[in-house]
Amino acid sequence: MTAQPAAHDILFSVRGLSKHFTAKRTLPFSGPPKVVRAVDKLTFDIHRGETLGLVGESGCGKTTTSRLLIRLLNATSGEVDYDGAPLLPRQGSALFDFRHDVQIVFQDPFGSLNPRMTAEQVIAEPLITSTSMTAAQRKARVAELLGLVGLSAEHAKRYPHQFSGGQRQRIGIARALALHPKFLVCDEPVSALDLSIQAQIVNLLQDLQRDLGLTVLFVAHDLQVVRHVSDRVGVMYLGRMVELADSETIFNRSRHPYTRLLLASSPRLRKSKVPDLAREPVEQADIPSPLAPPPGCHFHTRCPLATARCQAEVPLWRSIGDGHHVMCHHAEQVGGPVAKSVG
Amino acid sequence: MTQPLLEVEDLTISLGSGASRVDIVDGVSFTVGANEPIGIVGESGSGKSMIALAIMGLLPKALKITRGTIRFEGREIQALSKAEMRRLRGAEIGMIFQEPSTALNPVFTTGAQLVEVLQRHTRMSKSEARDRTIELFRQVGIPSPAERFNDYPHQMSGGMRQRVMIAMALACKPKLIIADEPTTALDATIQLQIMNVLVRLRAETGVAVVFISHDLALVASFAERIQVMYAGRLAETGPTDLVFNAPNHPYTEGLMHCAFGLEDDVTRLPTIEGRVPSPSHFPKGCRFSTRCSHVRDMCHNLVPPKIPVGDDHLSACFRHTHFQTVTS
Amino acid sequence: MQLLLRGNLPLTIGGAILACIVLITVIGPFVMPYGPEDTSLMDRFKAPSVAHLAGTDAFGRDVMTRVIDGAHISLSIGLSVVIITMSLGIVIGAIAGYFPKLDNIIMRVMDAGEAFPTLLLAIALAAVLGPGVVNVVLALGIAYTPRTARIVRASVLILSQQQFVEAARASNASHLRIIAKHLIPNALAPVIVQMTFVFADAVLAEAALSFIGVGPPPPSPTWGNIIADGRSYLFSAPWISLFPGLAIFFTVLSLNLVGDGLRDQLDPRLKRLD
Repeated sequence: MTAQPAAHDILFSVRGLSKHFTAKRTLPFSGPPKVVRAVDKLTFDIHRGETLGLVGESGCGKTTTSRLLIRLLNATSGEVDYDGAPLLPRQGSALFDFRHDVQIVFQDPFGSLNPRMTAEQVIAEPLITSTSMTAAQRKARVAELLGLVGLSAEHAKRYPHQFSGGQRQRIGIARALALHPKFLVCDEPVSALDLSIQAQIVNLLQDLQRDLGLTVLFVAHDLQVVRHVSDRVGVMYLGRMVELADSETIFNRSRHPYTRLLLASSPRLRKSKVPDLAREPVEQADIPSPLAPPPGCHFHTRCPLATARCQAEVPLWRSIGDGHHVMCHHAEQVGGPVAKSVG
Repeated sequence: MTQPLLEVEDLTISLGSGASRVDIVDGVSFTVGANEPIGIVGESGSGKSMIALAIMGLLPKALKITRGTIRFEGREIQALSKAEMRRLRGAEIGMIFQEPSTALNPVFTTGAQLVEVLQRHTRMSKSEARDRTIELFRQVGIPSPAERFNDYPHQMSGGMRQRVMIAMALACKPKLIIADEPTTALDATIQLQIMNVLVRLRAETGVAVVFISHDLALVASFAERIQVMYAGRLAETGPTDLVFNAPNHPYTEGLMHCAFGLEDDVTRLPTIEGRVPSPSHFPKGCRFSTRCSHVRDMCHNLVPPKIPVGDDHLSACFRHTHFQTVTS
Repeated sequence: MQLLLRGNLPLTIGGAILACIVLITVIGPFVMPYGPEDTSLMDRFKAPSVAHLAGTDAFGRDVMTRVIDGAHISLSIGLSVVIITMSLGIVIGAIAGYFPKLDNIIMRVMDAGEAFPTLLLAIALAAVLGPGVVNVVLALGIAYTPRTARIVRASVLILSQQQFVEAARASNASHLRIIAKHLIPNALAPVIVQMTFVFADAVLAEAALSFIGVGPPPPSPTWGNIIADGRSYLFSAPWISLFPGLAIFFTVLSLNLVGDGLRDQLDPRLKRLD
């Protein structure tokens, strides 16, 4: 994990990737439309075969980032190299080929399956649109995929509403694997599931990644799951990536105050099993609106280390060694192991 | 012993009738003493929210209380008239829901809505109610409360709206607050803030709270006693320390593993195999028997009673008993 | 089907009336002893009796026979209008909802169409193209399309945000495939409800158009024409207008009941507790 990976080990190379959305004006003539910088100049790599975790709270741009990487959204600016070749200019058949390589597992086990299609039809859809398989070949592949995700052939003819949340998620995974993808985006794949079911799906995803040699972008807000599945973790706040390092570093030696706040906010990450909320000081500032993020470092309104410089100057995205990147003026002051109560 | 504030006894809530009747909640009993924070933990379909609705007299029409009683300060809630129930809900039992935006009226300012609640349930004048509202806003940690008084719900973030909900629940100084997944819709850092407000206000006002959540760790951080529910029945109940650190019921144990198993660097997450049965497919005996790794023959046929396993600590499981099924 | 009807009174009653009307329409012509245009000067203005269940008109034609025959035309017009409206409305609505760039243009055209009073549009079309069944169908079909398109568009707008549509895009599905396989099938429920009301409206509108003489020309016995025929004898022979009036009343009532019932039946909010 220490040395820079060789170029051929990098699947995605992202440079200054941005996505701006134009907010609808609420009234006519109410001035220029507001621009939301949902994703603001991201620079990072995704290594072949790794699981990169992407964490952050709602509105931080983690979902948008995942959609940009698989071209479900078009970037406003920036460059992405996929497998050594520019990705963003791809159109037509080149885009078609790229989509063959990448897939996505969605959060919502209810919304991600067409309620009027059987499990079989759902899983077969990529085979119909992207291959020239015969109906019999498709049927065989669907059966194989059902087995792969722990469902049986008798499930093929059922409709989504006849499945539980966990089973639906398995169907979504089977669909994503149909075309033998190289890269899989998992967008909050377990956050809509009950705790006892979450673990089953996480284990399944890990097994599949190992067996099929997938590269995975794992987007989630649950730090505990991210910690478990990820080789490296990126933390996002209001459109910017504020820290990126290997999982162990993020969870034990984070150098960004926001990452530390996030870690401290997860009761499940604590060593002492019964956390005592009453005794801990809690910062009370609200998350700023993505429509009007604070100037300078977006986090300065909530940061215990904020100085005048933080209000004026956007921190650089810089490397502090060992593949550890951070966007903070005061990263060097954020030292030592993460707060006592956090494991 | 003094009379508890809330007594729920053998509460059974059913859907449908006759042969197709399903007991969504089956024989749940617990008490809440004055000033006591208790927690109810359960996953989706455990019936925990139905209990909250039943206490507030807000069960959907399709559901009926078919057995048991709910008593608030000795008064049986089912026997109250609609008007009495409304009064009880506003003035003596406060409520906090998961989604504050559905509970707040979008066309009135948040301040005006609180003033209205105060005026309906107390004899305050308008200006007194206004002062009290601003005071409440300050108590729940809303910055510059006098200005936020005139904000409409949509001008506030989810965390701020939830603070308004808490202020509203506290407005008439209720004796009991029912908080059903109050932080589930919020981001992690904001969730911590709201929990902090709840813990602090509970200590300050001494109000009793029934805290309902799917998140065992969250409930444990708040409640002194925990009830763990599974598929409509109480699986385990007892003081937080005991349930949390020495869980007895296999389901509680499984949940704890799922929630905290990661502390040790395991390569695979601990799981509870299978899934929660749907109400129409509840097994005959113990409802957890379909997923339990300690299952015995008798579990399939007999509903386990609540067996004392420690000080005030009950578990509905045969595991540590020597009961045998007698076959004749 | 039994499961569908259980506990849904409007749907059951409406469906039953509608079934009776269709049944009478289909087997009526084989049972009735008279032809719809058989005149008999001996039997003019006969009050309802066993021989003439609904009496006879100014030419001695059996009113019941004519009402039943008129049902063929009225119901065919209703059905044709439904088919035209549905196909046009679904295609236009789906395109408008799915392609944001076309949305504005298409919906402004629909607005314009909707702003025009239905009957006036039909009269204008009839004036240009001449009266006749085909023109009535065309006019009503065009007049009702915007409403249907609007309903489909609204559903499609919401459905387009669903993750299964995103999943289809991620799977390289074409726009045509997404619209046909993912959007339209899930947008159909409200359209089907809407179609019962369009059917009822079309029956009414056809009657009105016939009544004022721009519908299918006499002597073809549409319900509107029969009512118009009886207009001059409302006091001396009220049954001439009464029975086609009742036919319209029950048809429209049953369709509206079926529509209301279906709406309840298809409303997902009522299925939560399954």
